[in-house]
Amino acid sequence: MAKKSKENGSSSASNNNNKQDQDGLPDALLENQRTRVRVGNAGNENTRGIYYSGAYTSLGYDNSFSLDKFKKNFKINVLSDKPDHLVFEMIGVDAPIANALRRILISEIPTMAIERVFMINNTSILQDEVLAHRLGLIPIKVDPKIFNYKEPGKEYTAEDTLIFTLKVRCYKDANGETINGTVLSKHLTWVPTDDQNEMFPNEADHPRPAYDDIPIVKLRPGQALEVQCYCEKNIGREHIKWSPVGTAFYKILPEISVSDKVTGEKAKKLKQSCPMNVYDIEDSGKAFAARPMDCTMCRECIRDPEMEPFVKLERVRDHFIFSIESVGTIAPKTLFQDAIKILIDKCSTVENSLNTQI
Amino acid sequence: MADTAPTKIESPNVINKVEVISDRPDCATFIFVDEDHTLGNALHYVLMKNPKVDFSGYSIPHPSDNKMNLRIQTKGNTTAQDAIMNGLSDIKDISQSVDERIGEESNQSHIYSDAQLCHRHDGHPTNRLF
Repeated sequence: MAKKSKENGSSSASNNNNKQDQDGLPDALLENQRTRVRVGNAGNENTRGIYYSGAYTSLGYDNSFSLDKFKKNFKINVLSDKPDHLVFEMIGVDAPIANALRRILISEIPTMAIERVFMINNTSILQDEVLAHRLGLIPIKVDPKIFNYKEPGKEYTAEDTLIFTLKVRCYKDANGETINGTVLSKHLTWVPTDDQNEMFPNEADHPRPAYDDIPIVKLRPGQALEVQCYCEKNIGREHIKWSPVGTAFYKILPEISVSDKVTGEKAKKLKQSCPMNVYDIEDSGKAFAARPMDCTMCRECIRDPEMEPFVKLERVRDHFIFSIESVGTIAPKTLFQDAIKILIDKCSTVENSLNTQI
Repeated sequence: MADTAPTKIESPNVINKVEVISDRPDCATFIFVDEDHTLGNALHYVLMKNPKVDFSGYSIPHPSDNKMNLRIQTKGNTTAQDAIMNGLSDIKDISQSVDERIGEESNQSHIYSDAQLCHRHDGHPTNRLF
């Protein structure tokens, strides 16, 4: 039953079990339960990974952690790479680690964002607090590593604060055209304090909004805006404006096996039932999953009880398709590397704390 | 507690990050301050994978308390302290090899880095809207 998956894609799936130091369990059904999440009509099965080291001792399989084994099985494979959006496969890692990295990406990588706004003049229709909130959400492109966290109650210093001013007046020019009808993020100008000019010797590194064309507020002729914005360093757990990613998520690789018996009319029916167009029909008339990556596990193909025995929807438990979409301030690759560093730092902090107590 | 000094933000290297509650060497409850599922679940996972550990489990007793409890019971051939140290170094090892692999991958096939990120500084198509 479990040996049908011919197009085994990538991971170390259920093939040969003749090796002494096995890659999997000798029993096909148990191996399937260990490595796959089953998606059925009535619900999902085997959703929980089995992590106990001695879970399979009686079958001669060692479920404990070994770095060598991990290194042997672990793979990263880039699927799509754009300057601000990286998609890659992470194979051979378990959910708790992948999830830790995902959580760190969203909420624990520090960035700079506007935290305090001093309103000098605001005659726009937007209330001060709404305007301040909008300003806070603008991603600021600057290396956060060169700044310190601001200590509450202390004065602002050049090492923990960046200042931007926004001074825009809307008017009609000689031709009757409205100038500055929309205040954009490019109107924010950086005001270097103390020796901040030396911190950023290159023009290209100057702190600025990640995008120039983010609308902040619309003005009518005669309205004006003058505000001073103070940026501070913090993390996404405090407020989402400090999150460096639009979102970071993973999905688990779908694996679809179609029975050989699905031919002719049945195959056509299967192909048509899928809203994501996952299935195709071979020349021989047999249906097969041509684009399993597109599957959203909507289960439309197995909703008909007649079809359910012929289509097996599964996910490969240790195969993650990881997507990191940067907000535009730090490249996704750097973010992922930062997340790893933060996870290591977390462990070191706990180690240090425990060591001082012994 | 009742002093008038401004509340100081806890620096990441506080010594009392973890409190240990234990009356036998092979069992302990660790109370983490300012940690959540990120470290809790990862530690639980590597501890379960340690053959010397009998039980590990974690909980976040209340969402508005910044506390995370981790319980470890070993099989007796090691102390709970050693087990958690082992777990922490396992997470570090995993992270390091993930880091190495993404480094190799970006050497082999080019992955965009920070330098290429200023691509929308001018002339982004949405400019036409205004």
